[in-house]
Amino acid sequence: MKPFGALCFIKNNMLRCIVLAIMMGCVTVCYMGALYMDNISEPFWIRYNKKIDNAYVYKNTSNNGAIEEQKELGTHIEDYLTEHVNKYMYIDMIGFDFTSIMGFNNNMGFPVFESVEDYKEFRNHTSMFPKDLEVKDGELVVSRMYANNVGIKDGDTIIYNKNAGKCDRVDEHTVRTSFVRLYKGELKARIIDVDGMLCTGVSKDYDGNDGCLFFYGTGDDKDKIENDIKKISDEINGKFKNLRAENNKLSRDDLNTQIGFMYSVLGMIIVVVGAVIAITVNATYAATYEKRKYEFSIYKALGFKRREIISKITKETIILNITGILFGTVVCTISVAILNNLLYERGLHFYSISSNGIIATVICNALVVIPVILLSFKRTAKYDVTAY
Amino acid sequence: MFELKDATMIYDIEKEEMVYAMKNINLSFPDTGLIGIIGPSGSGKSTLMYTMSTLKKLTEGEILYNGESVINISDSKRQHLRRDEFGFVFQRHYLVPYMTAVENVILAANDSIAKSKEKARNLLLEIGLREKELNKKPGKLSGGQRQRIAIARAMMNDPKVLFADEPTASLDHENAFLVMKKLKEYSKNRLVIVITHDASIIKDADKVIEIWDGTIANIKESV
Repeated sequence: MKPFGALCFIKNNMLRCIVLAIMMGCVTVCYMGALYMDNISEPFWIRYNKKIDNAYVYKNTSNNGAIEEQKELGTHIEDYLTEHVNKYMYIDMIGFDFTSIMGFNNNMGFPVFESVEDYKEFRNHTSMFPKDLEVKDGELVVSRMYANNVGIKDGDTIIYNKNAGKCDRVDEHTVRTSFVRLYKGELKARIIDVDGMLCTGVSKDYDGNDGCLFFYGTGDDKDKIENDIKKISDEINGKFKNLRAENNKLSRDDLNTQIGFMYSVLGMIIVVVGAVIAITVNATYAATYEKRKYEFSIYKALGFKRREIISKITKETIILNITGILFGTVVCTISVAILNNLLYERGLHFYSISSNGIIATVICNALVVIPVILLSFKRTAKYDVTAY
Repeated sequence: MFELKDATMIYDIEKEEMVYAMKNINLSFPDTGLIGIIGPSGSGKSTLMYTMSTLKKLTEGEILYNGESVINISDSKRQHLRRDEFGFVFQRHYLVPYMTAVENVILAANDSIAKSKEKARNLLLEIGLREKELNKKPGKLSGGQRQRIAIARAMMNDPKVLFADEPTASLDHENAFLVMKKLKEYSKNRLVIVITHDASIIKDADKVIEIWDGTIANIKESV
C-alpha cells in the first residue's frame, strides 16, 4: 500500500473514517423518505399504470341533476360508442376505506357484476383483473393486502348495512365502505394473493341500471381503443356536469395533482436534509483537514503536485462516500424488511425499489460530496510548510 | 551550484515599516560539501533556505541553480526540483502521524514500494533507529528518533542538495554529532546546507556563512 494512497489514510484512521462514512451514509434517509412517498400512491399505480381500455361513469353529486343526467346518458349511450369501444354494461361499485402507508384514509371503487358472464366479458376485454381470476356468484374476491388493511377475513360474509356507507361482517365487526351503490344481498369474501389493492365480486341480487356505467373496447387495436376511450370520457365530462367519466389516464392525472404537492415538500426536505448533512460533514472535514494541515504542507514541500493532493483527498472522500452509501443502503434494506414484516399484517407494506428514492439520495449525496471536494481545492492552495 | 545575486526578501512589503529577512545577499555555493549557515533567531537563515529551495519567492534579486533561475519557474519544474533534486529536513520534522517510520521515509520515493522500503530500512538503521522502531508511528517515538526519520526521508531520493533547518535541534549532543557525521559523509558528493544557531555542530563544515539581520556578516572557509 502506497503511503500517499487514499487507503493508507483510511486504514490508519479507521474510527474517524467510519464516523465520516456513517455521516455521509445518512443521505440515504432521503431514500426512505421518497420510498414512503412513493408508497402513498403505489397501490393506485398498480391499477392505473395500465393501458386505457375501459372507463366508468359515476354520479359526481347526489342531487337530482345527477340522476337526470345519468338517465339521459343511458338513453343515448349508443351515440357515444365507436367502432373500437362498442361495449358497455351497468355495474355496482364497492370500495372499503383503507389506510395508506402514511396513515391517511383512502378509497378506491371496485366493480361488482350482475353475473359471472358479465364479469368474464369485462375481465377478458380489459386489463383490470388477472386473466385467470375466476369469481363465482355471491363471491367477493379481495387481494390480501386490501383485505388485511380493511379487516376482511377469508370466508367473511359481507352484508349491506342500511346505515349508508357501512358493510357488516357476519361476526358483527363493521368495515367502513366508501362505495356501495345499490348493493343488496350478501357476498362471501375470498382472499387472493395479488399485488396491490384489488376487489371485485358477482351478485345476482344486483337489481338495477342506476349504478356505474362501464364502457370498454373489444378489438385487438389497443391504441385505437385507448384513443376512443379518452375521447368518449372527455365528451361525457364536457357534457354532463354531475357525472364523471373516469379512465386510467384521468385517474393518473388526479393522482399526480394530489401527489405533486407532497413531492414538492419531499424536494424541500431533501434540500434541507442535504444542506444539514453537507454542513455537518464539511465542518467535520474542515476539522479533520485542520489536523492534517502539516501533512498536506509536507506533501507540497516534498514535491507532490497540488492536483495529486486534491486527487488523494477526492479519492478518500469518494471511498468514504461509497462506503457510507453502501452502509446506508444496508440499513435501509433491513429497515424496510423489518417495517414490511411489521406492517404486512395490517395490509401495509413498501412495494419495491423507489426510483424517486434513488434520485433523492443521489441529489442529497451530491449536495454533501461536491462541496467537500470543491473546498479541498481551496484548502490545498493555502497549505505552506513555511507558514507554521 | 547555487548562486544568489542581490537576493532580497521583504516581509510585510505592503506595510509602511518593511521587514527585511534577507537584504542584497550575494553568495555562491559549490556542487558538493557541507555548508553551515549560522546566526541568531530571526536573522534570516530559514528564509535563505526557503528561497533557495523554492519554498518561498524572493522579493528582489536572483537565485540560480545550475545556472538557471529558480524564481519564476513553472509549477512542474518547481515540483521536479523539490522531489528529485532537493531534500528537506525542517525544524519541526513534519512527519505524518498516522504513518510508520518506514512509510514516512518512502512517502515521496520515486522507486517501487518494495525497493523503497528496503532502502528506507537501511537508511533508518544507518542513522541510528533500531529494527523494532521501524514500524512505529511518530507518536510512539522520541523527538530525536523523529528527527532521524525526517533526515532519512530527506535522503531517500538521493537529492543533489539537502537542506537541513536545525537538524539537531531535538537531539542530545551525542546524537547530534552522530547525525552531523552522517551529513558530513553525505556531503562528499552532494551539497548539504545546514542551518543552525549552534556553532559547535558545524565545526566540520567546509564553509560557514554567518548571517545577521538578513545580511552576511562573515564567511569562513575551512582549510
